[in-house]
Amino acid sequence: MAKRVAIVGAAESDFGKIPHVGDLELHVQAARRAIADAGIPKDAIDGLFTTGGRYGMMPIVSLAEYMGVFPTYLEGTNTGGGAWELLVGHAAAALQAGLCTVALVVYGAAPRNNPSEGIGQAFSLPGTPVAYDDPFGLPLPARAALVASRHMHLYGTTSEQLAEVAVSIRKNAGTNPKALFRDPITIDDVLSSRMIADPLHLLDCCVVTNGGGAVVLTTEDRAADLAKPPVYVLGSGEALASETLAGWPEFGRMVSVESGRRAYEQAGIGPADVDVLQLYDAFTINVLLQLEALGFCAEGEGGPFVEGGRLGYDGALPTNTDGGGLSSNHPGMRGIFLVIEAVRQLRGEAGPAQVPDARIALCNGTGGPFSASATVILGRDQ
Amino acid sequence: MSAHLPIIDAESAPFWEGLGGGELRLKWCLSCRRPHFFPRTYCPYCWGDTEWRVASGRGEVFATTVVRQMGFPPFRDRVPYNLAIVELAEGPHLLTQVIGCEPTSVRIGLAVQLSPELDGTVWMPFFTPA
Repeated sequence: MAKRVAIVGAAESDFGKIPHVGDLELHVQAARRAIADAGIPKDAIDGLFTTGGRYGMMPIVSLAEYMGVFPTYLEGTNTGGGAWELLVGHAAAALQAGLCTVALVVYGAAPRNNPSEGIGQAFSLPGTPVAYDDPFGLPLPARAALVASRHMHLYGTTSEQLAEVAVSIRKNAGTNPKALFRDPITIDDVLSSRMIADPLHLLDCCVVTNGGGAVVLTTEDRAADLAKPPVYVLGSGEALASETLAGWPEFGRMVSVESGRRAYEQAGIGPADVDVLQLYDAFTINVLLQLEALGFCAEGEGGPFVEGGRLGYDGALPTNTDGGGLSSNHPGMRGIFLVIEAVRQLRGEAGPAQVPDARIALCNGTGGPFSASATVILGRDQ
Repeated sequence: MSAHLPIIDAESAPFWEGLGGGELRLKWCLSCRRPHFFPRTYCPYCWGDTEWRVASGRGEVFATTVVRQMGFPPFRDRVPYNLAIVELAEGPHLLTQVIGCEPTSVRIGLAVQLSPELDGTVWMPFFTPA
């Protein structure tokens, strides 16, 4: 029987508008809070897992020097916003294999400081898939809008149903003092917000904030003596589709089908066992597709499924209980916050959004946002 | 040349250059016989050798949107505009703009045909209703 691996520390940096803080600082701010949460000294970290931000030719090397860490096991895979679920899964595997003893997964980004950079900008090299996207003027919301158009066409999904997602997640944000937007909204508010890319309105789209987060993992034997109750990694999985929508082999069917299947198998559970769910809500349609792909409802039934406030913290399937990317924070790759909120829920630290007696949490991170998926299932001692 | 235009290299040049003559050129695999998009030297399905052929230029709209807000030039001054994924008669999908009609009038299933349009120095593979 392999050693169990646990998340023993988890923390967010400051987030929100905070224009005076840079990407690198946010990494350290989150990391030092996470090791304090764990009660582990900085020098115990021997495994570093990060996408490394956007620093030059060797991003993880730049970040490690800035942070003053000298890992002997490291990984800098970038699969977009959900890379953090992939990295948590890989950190757990490395710890189980004895390749490192204390793993830090860390993120920070400050997109509000340079609003002209990044998202939507043509930075395609010849021969790469996006070289056939960028010349047409494809902003991120339009990618999600194209997917939504197809879902509506095939299944009759409505704008009202998409709005339900934003309304429930905003309700959850109302319990989070750090969330960017906390005032309740209605379906009408979503539908009357300005159109960004048909059929997606402004309130179908995530916020843009600065922020970072970190989690610390170690093996079960070390976890037992630490400050907080361990949250075990029960299963993980990952899968890749395509960078472009045109190349998506099964358009509209997120590869969370595969990442989820692997995670469920490893954890020995199914969707019905999940007490609290954290999905990557870059856009409302993404939530429907993940609910379908992860087996919470059948393919095409995401619209009716989310009606009636099901995703609220007090609903039948509490989802994005911190207010998610739609209302709380989104620095560009917010998958780390899914894990941090799941840890809070499993420790009973989630405040007014606490799901009573939450034992199993599922985090699904997506990147692209339809290109890659990674799933992590977490649980506490029963 | 505007930064949004494709940087054309030897691998992609036949695709872009064909558009100036009204041709939609795709790559076909010499081993598994399947066409693919975007064009690559080796077939993504089986890694076989490939050759260029002229496709029909016909297809139908598979997914569609109207972009109302876009932060980057030159597109920020072109909104609203259509973006669509077209399923080509030969099978592959490509991202494009459907032009020559109201952007909001483009529906999934609409039959479209290639209608290249010059953007700066590059002929773009746009489509119009057939």
